[in-house]
Amino acid sequence: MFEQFDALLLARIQFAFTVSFHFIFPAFSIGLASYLAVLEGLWLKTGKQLYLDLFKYWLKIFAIAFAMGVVSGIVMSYQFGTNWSVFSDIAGPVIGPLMAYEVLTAFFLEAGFLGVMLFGMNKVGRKLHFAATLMVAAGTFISAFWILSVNSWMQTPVGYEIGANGQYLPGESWLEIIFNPSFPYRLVHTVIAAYLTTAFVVGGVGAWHLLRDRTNAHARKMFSMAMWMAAIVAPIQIFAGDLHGLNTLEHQPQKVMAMEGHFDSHPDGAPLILFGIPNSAEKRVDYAIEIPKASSLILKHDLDAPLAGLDTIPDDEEPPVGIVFWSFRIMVGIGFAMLGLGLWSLLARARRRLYDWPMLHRAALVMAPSGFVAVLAGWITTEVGRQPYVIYNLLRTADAASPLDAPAVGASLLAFVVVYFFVFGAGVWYILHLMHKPPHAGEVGVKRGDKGPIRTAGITPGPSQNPGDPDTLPRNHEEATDGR
Amino acid sequence: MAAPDERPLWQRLGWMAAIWLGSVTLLGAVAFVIRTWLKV
Repeated sequence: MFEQFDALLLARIQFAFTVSFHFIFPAFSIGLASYLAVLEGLWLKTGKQLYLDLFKYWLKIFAIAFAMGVVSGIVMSYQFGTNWSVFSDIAGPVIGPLMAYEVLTAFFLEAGFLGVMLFGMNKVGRKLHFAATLMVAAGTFISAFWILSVNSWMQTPVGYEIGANGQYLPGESWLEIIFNPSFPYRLVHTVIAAYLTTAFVVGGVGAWHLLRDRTNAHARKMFSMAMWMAAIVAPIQIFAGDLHGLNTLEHQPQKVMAMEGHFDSHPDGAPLILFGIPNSAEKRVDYAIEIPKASSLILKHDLDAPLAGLDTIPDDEEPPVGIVFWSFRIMVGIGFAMLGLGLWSLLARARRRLYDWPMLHRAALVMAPSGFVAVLAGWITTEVGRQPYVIYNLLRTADAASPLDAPAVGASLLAFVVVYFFVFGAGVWYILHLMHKPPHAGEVGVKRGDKGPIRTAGITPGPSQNPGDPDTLPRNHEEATDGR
Repeated sequence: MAAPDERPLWQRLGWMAAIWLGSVTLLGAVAFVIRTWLKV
């Protein structure tokens, strides 16, 4: 069935498919873990039930997203051995320990304490439960730290030695490997992207419920918190992205050339091509709409600064320009749309219409999945922009694959596609199902299975006595949340 | 039955350790199943 295909191409498609599926979930859970820690912290500090309700509402969603992220991540780490054994063999001494730290963090901090988060509230008490939540939030960040260190080393490899057998071995300092030149920028840019992704999902869900019932205090609170994130963090992200781009120009210039669509060098200032259709065969951008000298201004802070183009790069060293050019524009476009929504929310706040502006809520609803699109587009920009190398300037992707026949890779790719769509499709459907339900006073959280004692007829249990039975809880938000 | 916050610290820490260990074991089992499926 797959005989006529190229095994390398199938292996690359398989990795692109699994990493794209995987990246969606940590991009969400990194931010959501911190959001949960903030909600629980606010609940402990203020004692307001509303924060606990929101915590329980999002905890269920977090659990599913986290589980799917871990399972899809395990598959990826195994895939290094199945489809990329040459890469694993050559680079293993450097990247192996870093990836091991990531896995240890995911197992012992994130997954271990997630169990306490889900099932421990009635066993360990409030403070220990909060400690577990903080551990999960810290774990997601530390996991991101290690895996982004690995990826950054593949982008800007330093601190290694080449062994007699051709392996890349750690040099004198692990710190040089871990904190390689692109790592600080990639870490900041990616983690902020994860926070923004979560903020826009939270904001979108809040907006959805505000459109149905603008008096819902829980929806108001989550929408307000998300819009603060959009207004404050989106500009920070654009600034961080600019710094990341300057770092990339310094260490991986051909990636920036592809992002900018600069097939030709510009000795007297390069234009910023806003849109166009890259034509790699003719080495030009068709139908380009450009701002003269603006690219030199952004990248060199000088209108007349010279910028080298892809004409200075051998053809077999060029990344696929069309993909990088467009994925970069999608990411940047969404970033500015996020900033626009944040500014709109500030205007709404100033006019005291944050909860009373359906157009704003509809916009937030449309923008709910934008973070996922942006992180995937950004990831495609950086990964495809590194091509044709898997380890920049050291190991070509074509030389890194396992010696497998196309049918073997194709069959496993087919299996992944089928299994992923069923398993993760079901998970995503359930997450959307949970989000569809409005947050309310006395959120149940994860059901424990114990029903509690049967109470005497005539006594109505309060929320704290019987959190598992929503029918017995007050439905009036004002009553349940002190009128907030 | 005492509320969680009124229980002795050693009991709450014991629950925390037990749930933590159970969670890690469960994930280990999942990883092993995937490893077997992929025949790594």
